[in-house]
Amino acid sequence: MRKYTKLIRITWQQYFVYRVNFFAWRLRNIVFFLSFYFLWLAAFQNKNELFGYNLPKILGYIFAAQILRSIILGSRTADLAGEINSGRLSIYLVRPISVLKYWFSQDIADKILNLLFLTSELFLIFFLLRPPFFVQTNPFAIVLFIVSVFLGILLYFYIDFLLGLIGFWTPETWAPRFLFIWIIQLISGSIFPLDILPQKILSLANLSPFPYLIFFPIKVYLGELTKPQILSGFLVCSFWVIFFYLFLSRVWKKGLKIYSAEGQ
Amino acid sequence: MFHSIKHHFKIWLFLSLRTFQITLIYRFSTLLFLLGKIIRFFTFFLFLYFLTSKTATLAGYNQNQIIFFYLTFKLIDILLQIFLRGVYWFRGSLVSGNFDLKLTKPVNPLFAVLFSHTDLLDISTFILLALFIINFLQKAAFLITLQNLLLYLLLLLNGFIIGLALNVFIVSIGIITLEVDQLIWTFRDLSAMARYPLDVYHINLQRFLTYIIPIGLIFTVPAKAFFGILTLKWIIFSFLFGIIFLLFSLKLWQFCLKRYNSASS
Repeated sequence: MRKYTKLIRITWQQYFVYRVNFFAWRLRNIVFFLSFYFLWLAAFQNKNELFGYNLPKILGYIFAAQILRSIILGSRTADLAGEINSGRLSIYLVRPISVLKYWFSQDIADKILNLLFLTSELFLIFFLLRPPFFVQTNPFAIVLFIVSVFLGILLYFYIDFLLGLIGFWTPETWAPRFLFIWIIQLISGSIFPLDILPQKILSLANLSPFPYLIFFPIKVYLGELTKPQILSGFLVCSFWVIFFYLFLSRVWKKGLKIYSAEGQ
Repeated sequence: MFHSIKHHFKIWLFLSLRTFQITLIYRFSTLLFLLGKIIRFFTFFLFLYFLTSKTATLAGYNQNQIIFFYLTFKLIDILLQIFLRGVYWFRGSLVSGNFDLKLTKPVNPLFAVLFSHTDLLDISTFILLALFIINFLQKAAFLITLQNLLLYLLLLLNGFIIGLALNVFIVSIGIITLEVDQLIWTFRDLSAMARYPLDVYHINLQRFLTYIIPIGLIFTVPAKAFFGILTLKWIIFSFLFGIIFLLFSLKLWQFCLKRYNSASS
């Protein structure tokens, strides 16, 4: 466990090597948030309710989406494919360290740092703009929210890791990742609540694991789901987590069999 | 001057065709990138479409107008991406010293930096978008006058010139600081705020995005001209800003180039 904790600290140090890059990354997060914040304010200028949301709830949604984008969709596993292609994966294989746990530790480091800075950024935005956003006070809903976020973190990590394993078979890994990123942006609820889509499209999106990354946790947080809906959501999400873990394990074993450490 | 333009056009065509050849080697990746770009386009299109289907107006604009702002944004964004892709490779050439080689060649170095990686495949994306816009305009039934259309096209060109000037500004700063990538991505993220009219934002933010980082002049002003709601003051200001900013950026480039320190080649 100590080695993974050390790894988390090293990952933090790496972030602060290029401070300008770090600052620009934080600025881009704020810009992204503000573009949706003001859009929804404008949409609610002459309306009290849209798509079943009032203004506090929709602002609560976008605040929560900003946080979840950082801690669920923020990941270091994008680097995995490059490590495989360059043969540097061998370094991890010969070490007394689980490759999966190694990358998960880096991810956790990334998420903790993201959360720390994001909290202060959102606090500053709240202080300057004083938005009337919804805050959940039901402890049961908060606990369920935290569990759904944890499942979302696992789910995205496994999916992203799987994408990285494409590196075993081809050097062209950025294109599938680019496509995947935009599919997720469309149907995870990270840009807009999926409720605004017609029911048919929403039903299609629910067949995929992606709404359980952002949309489902936020709906749990907002207290907008019934108990059966929450239960079925957790069951479906858990299914996807187990499915991707098992699939990932198989692909990893197959990939290792053909791995030739080119470049090393 | 005409000879110089012809010379640089031939070089641009040569480099673009080489980039296209590389694209064709990775056909599957190219297809996936194209699909990703189409999904990206429809993500925000669908969002704005369904959002504005429930609101009567958004910042004073109806659904068709909001969609048209978004389409104008995409049009200029794609044009800037098609022709100015070279900026993403600039930092690499600075730190490796390969920029020295560009300086020794009989090509304008700024031209070589900005226009060296034009992806001709992006032109297909541009054509698809243009067709989509024409189809949309036919269905939207805007009252289009020749004057507004002409002004729209001229301000689109002006928007491209301001975008070009911004890229020149960024690569100039990059020569001194080596910070190119973060600046360009910050510009692109700020540009994304113009997916919808800047009237949506707080007045101070509107001013910042118009006068300091001229996103409004690049993306929002042409669409407003199309609807005939742009005053003469703004038209003159936009064109003047474009010319002055371009001249300033070119001067800055010359200034920074004289202070270039090679990383060794």
